[in-house]
Amino acid sequence: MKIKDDIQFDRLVQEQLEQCPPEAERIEQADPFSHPVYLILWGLILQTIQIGLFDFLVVPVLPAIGAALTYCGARSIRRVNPWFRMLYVFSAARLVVLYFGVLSYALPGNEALLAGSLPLPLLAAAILAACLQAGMLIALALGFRRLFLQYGLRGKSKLLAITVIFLCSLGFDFLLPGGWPQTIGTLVSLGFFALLISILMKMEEGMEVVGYGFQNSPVRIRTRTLTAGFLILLAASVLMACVAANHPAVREAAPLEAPGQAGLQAKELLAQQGVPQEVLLDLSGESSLLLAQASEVKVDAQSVDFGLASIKAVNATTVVFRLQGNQYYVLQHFSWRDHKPYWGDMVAIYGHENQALDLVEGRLFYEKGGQRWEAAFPELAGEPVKISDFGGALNYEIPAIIGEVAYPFGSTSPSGYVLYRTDGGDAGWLNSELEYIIFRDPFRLPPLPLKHELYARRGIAGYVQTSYPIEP
Amino acid sequence: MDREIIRLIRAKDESGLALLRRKYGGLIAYVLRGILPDARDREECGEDVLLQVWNKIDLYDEAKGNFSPWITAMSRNAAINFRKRVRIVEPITEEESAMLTPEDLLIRRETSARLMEAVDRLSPGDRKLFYRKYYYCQSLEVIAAETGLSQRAAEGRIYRMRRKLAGWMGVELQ
Repeated sequence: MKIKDDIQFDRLVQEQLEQCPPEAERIEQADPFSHPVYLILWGLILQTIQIGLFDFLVVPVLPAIGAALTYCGARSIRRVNPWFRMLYVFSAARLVVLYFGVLSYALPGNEALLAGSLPLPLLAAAILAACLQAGMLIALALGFRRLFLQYGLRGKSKLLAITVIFLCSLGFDFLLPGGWPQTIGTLVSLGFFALLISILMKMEEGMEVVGYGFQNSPVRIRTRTLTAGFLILLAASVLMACVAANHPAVREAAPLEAPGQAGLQAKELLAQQGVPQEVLLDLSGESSLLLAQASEVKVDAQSVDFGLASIKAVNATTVVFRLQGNQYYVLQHFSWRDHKPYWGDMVAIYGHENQALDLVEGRLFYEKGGQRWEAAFPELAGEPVKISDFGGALNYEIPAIIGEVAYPFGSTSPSGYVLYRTDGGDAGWLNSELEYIIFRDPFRLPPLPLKHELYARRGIAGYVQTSYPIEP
Repeated sequence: MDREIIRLIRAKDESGLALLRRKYGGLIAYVLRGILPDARDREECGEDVLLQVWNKIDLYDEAKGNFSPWITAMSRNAAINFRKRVRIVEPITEEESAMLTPEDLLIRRETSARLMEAVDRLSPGDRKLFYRKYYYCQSLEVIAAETGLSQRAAEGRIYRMRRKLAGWMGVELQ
């Protein structure tokens, strides 16, 4: 059978349905309320669920889907009565608060979390979110109450009472002391929440009476697109925040200049003492002149052990220089084979307990655009690091130098060094332990300052250690 | 509540009609809204539906399904008949009807069967759209607003659903 156009086909179908209407039980029931109410209910349930089992990246996914669904449902029925309009406004505000809450978690400034407290932006977002969620539940309950009362269904208004009891139990929960009273309080709150949801789910019969009068508002963006769009926006914002926070920009980058005549002579001298060429290529002329005066040089080249067969990325060369008057300089050089250090890797150099480490200089090197560049070593500083174990039996500070390592995207042959002076203390030996922490991606939430990152242990750490006997 | 309504109407108790109006008045008005654009027609037809339920309640079989779809079907058919009666759509005249040969009737029945088979093959979402568009005769604006779709998205989905139906029915859309 050939049909000219869609209009003719529509007419054919309609005629068929008029002449031979399907049996009542075959007909798909249509109504204006199921879709929005379903979205609102599932949205509210999802917003309440927090997955604490996985990484933070997963935690806001369900609340984000929930917030978007609630918004989509509420926008459809916003013209039904003023309470539903309020629900719509609250749901839109909840989306905004969730967005900025998640974004603020992905931005720097959340060190307070390590101490177990909430930073101000997150605290504000959490309080606002809780208020909005309570507001949404109350607006929904009041909206239904008004609707049911309009149709003389007084019994259905118990929803409001349960909502208020649930919210009060939740508030009371916070006031209870920790331990089992709070656990019982939480269980009671959950019980009321389940009751509330079951009442909402069972409102079908009431909705058959009141729901067909709904005049749904037209929408510009469909539910699925809006929900997916919000998730993508959230993910993209978090991604950008992670990249911005965890890809430190290279500072003071300049083409690597060839050393002067004196510097070259000093480097030749150092080469004769066994300092590897790879190290000498990077070493500044000024430091070469200083170190060429060394009476004794010890070189120790190792691969940093990350404890994983898949990572054999960093070569570390430790060179100890003994200068006159028992002054020791240690040059800690490192270079990469296959690792791309773009995401704020960390270097920490430890002495032993009584050994002072005095930072002289640190530089980073890389190749880009057919040229070798040198740049400042970000955040490089000497400061003590706390060593402790879980039991608290071990708790002391050791001197350390820590710095952040990151190169521009697309750079090759990355390397760097840290030069420091040490007296070796009174232990009769000099310790140089290099800890290198690799980050394979920028997804570290929340981003932390360097020293906190060292304690947070979120990367893959590798070590090399050199000991050198000295005259006390 | 449904059992009570059915019991009262079967007993020809007018309070059953009041209950029916209270519970299903909204549904009836909703079904009529798509087919009868004029509010006065809807009001008149709504009364017809209540009268039909009153008269035909014995035809309702609880074993076959819920009361609500039965009321929906009753309302929709009443609205279609009402529309024909007030000549919003030209009904098939007696002459035309007399001109239908047994062969025509057979073709019509076959087409109807093919249509329902094709409808059964649609996804649940598309099937809902089908009924909204062709059975409840809802406008694109209403379909879009009630299903959370933009009008453009609803139009696109209906277009694709129409193509699928035509293909499964063996209809060549030009």
